[in-house]
Amino acid sequence: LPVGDEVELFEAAWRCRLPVLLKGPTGCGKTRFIEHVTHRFHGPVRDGAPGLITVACHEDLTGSDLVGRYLIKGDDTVWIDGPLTQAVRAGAVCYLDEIVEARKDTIVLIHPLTDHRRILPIDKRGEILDAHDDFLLVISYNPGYQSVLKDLKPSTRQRFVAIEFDYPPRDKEAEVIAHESGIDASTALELAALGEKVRNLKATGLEEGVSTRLLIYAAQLMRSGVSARAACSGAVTRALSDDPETQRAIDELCATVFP
Amino acid sequence: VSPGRAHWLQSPHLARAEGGAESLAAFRRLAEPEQREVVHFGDVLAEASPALALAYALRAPHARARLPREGFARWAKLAVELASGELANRDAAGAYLRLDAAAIGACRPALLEHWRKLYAEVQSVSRKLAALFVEGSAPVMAKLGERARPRLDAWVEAGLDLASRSGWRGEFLAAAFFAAGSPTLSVLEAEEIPRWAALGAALQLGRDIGQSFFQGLPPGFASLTPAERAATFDLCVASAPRAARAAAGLFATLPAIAAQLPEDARLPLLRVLVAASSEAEAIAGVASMLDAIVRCVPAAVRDGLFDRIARLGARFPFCVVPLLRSLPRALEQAGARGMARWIAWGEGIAEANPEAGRAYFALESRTALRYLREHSAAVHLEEVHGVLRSYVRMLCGVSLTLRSGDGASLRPFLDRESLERSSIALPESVDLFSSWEDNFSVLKLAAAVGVGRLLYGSFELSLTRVRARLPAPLASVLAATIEGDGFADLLEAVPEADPLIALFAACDGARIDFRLRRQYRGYTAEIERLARRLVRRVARPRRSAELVLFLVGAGIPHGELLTDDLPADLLGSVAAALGSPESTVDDALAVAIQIRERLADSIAVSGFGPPTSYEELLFEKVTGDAALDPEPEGELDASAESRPTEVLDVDPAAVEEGDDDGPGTPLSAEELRRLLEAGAILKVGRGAEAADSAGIFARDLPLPTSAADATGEGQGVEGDRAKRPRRAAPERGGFDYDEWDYAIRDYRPRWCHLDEINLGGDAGEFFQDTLMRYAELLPEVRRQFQRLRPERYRRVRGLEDGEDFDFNAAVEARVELRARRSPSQRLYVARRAEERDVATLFLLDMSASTDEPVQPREPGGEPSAAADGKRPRRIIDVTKEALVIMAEALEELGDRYAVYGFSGQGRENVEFYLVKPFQEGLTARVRGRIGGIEPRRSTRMGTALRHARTKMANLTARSKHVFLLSDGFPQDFDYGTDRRSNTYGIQDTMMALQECQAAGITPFCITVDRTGHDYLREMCETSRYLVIEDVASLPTELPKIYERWVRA
Repeated sequence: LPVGDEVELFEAAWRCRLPVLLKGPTGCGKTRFIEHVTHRFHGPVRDGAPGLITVACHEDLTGSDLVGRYLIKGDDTVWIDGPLTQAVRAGAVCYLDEIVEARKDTIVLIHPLTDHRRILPIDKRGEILDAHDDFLLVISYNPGYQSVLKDLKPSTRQRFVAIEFDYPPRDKEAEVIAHESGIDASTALELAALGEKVRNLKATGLEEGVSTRLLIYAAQLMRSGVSARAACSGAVTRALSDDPETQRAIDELCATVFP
Repeated sequence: VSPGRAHWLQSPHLARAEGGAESLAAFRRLAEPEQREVVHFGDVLAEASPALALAYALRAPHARARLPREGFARWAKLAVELASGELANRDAAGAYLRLDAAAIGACRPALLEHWRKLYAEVQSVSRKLAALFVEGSAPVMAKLGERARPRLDAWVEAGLDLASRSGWRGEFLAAAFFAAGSPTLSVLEAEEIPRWAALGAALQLGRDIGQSFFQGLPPGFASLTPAERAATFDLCVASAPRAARAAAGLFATLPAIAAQLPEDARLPLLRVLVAASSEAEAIAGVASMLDAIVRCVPAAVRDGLFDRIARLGARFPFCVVPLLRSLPRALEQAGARGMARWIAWGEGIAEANPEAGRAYFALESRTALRYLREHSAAVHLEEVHGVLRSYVRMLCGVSLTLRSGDGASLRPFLDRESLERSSIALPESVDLFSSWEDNFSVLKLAAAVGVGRLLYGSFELSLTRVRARLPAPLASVLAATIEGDGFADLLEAVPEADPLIALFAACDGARIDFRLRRQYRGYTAEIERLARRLVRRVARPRRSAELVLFLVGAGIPHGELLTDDLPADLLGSVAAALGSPESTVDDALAVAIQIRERLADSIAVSGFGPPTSYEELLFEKVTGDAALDPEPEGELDASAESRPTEVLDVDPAAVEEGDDDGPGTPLSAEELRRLLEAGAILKVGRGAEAADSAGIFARDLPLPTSAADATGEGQGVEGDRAKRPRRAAPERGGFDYDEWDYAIRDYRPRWCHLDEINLGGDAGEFFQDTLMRYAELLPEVRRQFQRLRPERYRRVRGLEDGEDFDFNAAVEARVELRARRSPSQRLYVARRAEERDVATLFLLDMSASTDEPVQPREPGGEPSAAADGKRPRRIIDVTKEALVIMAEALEELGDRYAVYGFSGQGRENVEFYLVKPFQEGLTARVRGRIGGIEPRRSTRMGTALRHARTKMANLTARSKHVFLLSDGFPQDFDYGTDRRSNTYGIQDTMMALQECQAAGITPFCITVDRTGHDYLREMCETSRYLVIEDVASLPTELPKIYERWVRA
């Protein structure tokens, strides 16, 4: 369900094999989007390898986690490709989720892959890997809650075509919720309205607004027979905040929206 | 004409005397035999005294004219008797002859005879008293007739009893007592007379009080009932031995105060005071506020509540006055229903610790406030402020301020400040229902309507458009009364007392409710639930227009709503006008104007203003404190086992009827002042947001500058004031902190006021000088701290997974394998980032004692001198030097740090000097400020520590530290009641240190006081303090201490 021109933009980038940066808050559908467009433009499987390789980045993600490392197997020392190397070799879309979480030394690894060189040096093997023609690097990044310390360096940022995501407008979001959870349209619309209202709290009481994903969860709970208030409390309130005051406020909002 | 007659009847003096001519004329008008009678007695008198005969001549003709023969004879015979014979007393006779002869002559013979006997009795004691007796008693006798007899008996007995006491003083007293006879005898009953006399005798404290006591009864006394008088006597007599002056003051003022109270409240209140009679001084201090205090208690619960307080007083008299003072506030917080439990709890506390009980009832302890809140269903805006603010923000997407307004309402208040669209004014508290959740619901719905005003254009009011919707006559009135077109003009033109604004708020609220209900199903359900409860609980005739409109907006069918004033057709048209999706604020105002025209005085006739014809329009009627019918389904009162609760659980329906001065009624300035003194309107100053109307009133009031002014009674009040929580002035910034009182083993809430003060500084000379001075030390310290600085990355060995092989481990594993043993899997190494994440706050004691010169360690040691060599080096200088070194060293290390100083004087003025906040680097200004640190005043450590904790609360650091640098124990002139004792301060500081610890901040105390061990051991663990014996070594020591104690 396109909200803006994101699909066209990605398609163009794909044609030129330009690396893509997806920006947007949690649970607004970045991963969903990349799955969709990979499926559409690249194909789910290529030469027996998956079309999309996703790496969730974390604080201790090191370069060797991405590129690969030697492992000792019995008496032998074996080189195992990391996910990035696999993608480069096989020509898959490599999706590095939440890239800023990774260590800085990891981030520079992707630099040579993202400019005209399209190479991946593997220093441990003294090998320089040329990227497959169909290889595409996609990273995602959430500008919201990460601290100032964890901002992307301009040298990294400026290697990507950026596509910005946000939560869809209320009616579109309602459509998404209804589609994903199978709940009726009016409840979906109410949930979308709830989401919109809760997002107003961002930056004052909450780090992040409620994601579409959570709203879908709530809808799924409701569909399986949980009362609306309980579903919202579980999927929205408790998931969003630990602060009793904020929780109470969100619960009150749920009570205002749902009887 | 007898020769004697020349001296009286024919005397030229008579003709010249005042009234003489009239007398002679009256004499001439008498018939011959009557003249003879008059002359007969006159002649007899003239023999005894011509002067008396002259006085007789002025009275007798009139008396004879008005009295029958026997009556006149009785009067005249008595006069003769007083003038001559065995009872002769010229003064008494003169007094007698000055009285109204006709009245005396009309008295029954038996009574006169009795009176004569009493006179004889007095006469036998003192001739002077006898004269006074005649003067005082005869008119009363004439007035009261036979009823006077017991009073006269009691009077004479009490008077003679007084006279028999303590010699000439007794005579004086008795004289004053008898002299006051005529005004007092007609008021006092026979059994009251001896009490009065006894009280007077007990209050003999020097001339001023003693004699003036008998000058008369205090004002207002006459209007009290016998039972009330008895209670007044009980109180004053009981308190006289301990505090005669206060008792005298009470007797003089209390009756007038009591007389102003509602009649049914007097006796219960007096009984309360009697119970507390041992605290006469405190009662005298609170006397002027009694009126205001009583009026804040709903009439229906008054008896029960006062009875409960009296029982409390029987056990703990010292608790009564503090309780009375805090009663308005306590009631406001707990509601009438919660009071009994609150009192019972306090009784338990008082039993264990009287001082704590007193503080509890004065609402000076944290327990008291917490207990009040916990056991009340009332919702205070303050406590749900955060929730509602978030709620409102979510609803409308912008941050709005929630203000508290005065009074009760189901809707947000409409005032000028609301027009700025940045705030919503909500009732300060809601106590309509017996459950907290329901009360919260009221507040929440009101907040939603506040948002609705913004979203649905309430402020886009156009009076022009409103006029178009009104019938022509009303439209023209509106055009004539209000200039301009906008909302502000409306508020400007319509006086506050006019019901229109409240009606408009109600109509617009209903309109918004229609809109909100259309949008949110949950809102619909909630408001309907609430409305149903209100319908059940408020009987139809007692529903105010505001309530009815609320119910209309909530979607309750009109059939259930109509009242006499609001018939079904009107409600139908109101609902139609407000309920359509297109209706606007203009419709709401048009409807409100029409309803107002219908309910109150016609605007067309009398314009805007408070209505006269329709008093029921008072909007607080249904929303006021306890104006609800009891819940029909029966309240589940969990605490029914406590008996006192039942006493107070009177039918709340009755509350509002007799209680004209319920909540929400504007107070007079005088009442407000009294309540202020009583601490009742503390909320006015609570935070900057509370700038409601009451706040404005309060600011205009001339507040008493000293406690003595406020109460008029000097002694005992000073200590009293020192024990009251501070009253925040609304405009005053700064911070309020609780303080621990070890005597009551509780916190005194909002006890200290702290201000942050920017410190001026030098141009950095001190800093530079110190750096020069310690030029040798500094590099050493820097090196030490550099060693502390962690490696950015640390190699971690022995991992099961990692960046690279650990070759040693790999070789070992290989060996193990060869040896056919199972090798370790931990073959990898990784590099891990290490960060130092420390924040340290240096809190500097800037008390006056740091002005002391530094003592050399040994008497013969070289005297320390300041850098310039002119003045001796002081403790503060050394501390500053230590800070300079520390700052330099910490810059090297990169740890975050802040430097603050504190001092102050008294709990109202704790000063917190900003030297270097965490955010600021070691700038030139900071350097200057370190130089500008100078000794100031006292050392209130606890408050300063609490503020340091606040400063660090929002800091994210893995470890937080506070370094307290001081030179002695905590001290301030009101740090505890006993200035000489340090215990209070030490205990408070101890609690503050514990609070820091609980907040995740590690405190460390460094003192240069050699006796520091004694009290620091009490305040904190041994490992948390250090006493530096040699002050001069502080600059060298401090970095070492830091290094040792601050762990990343």
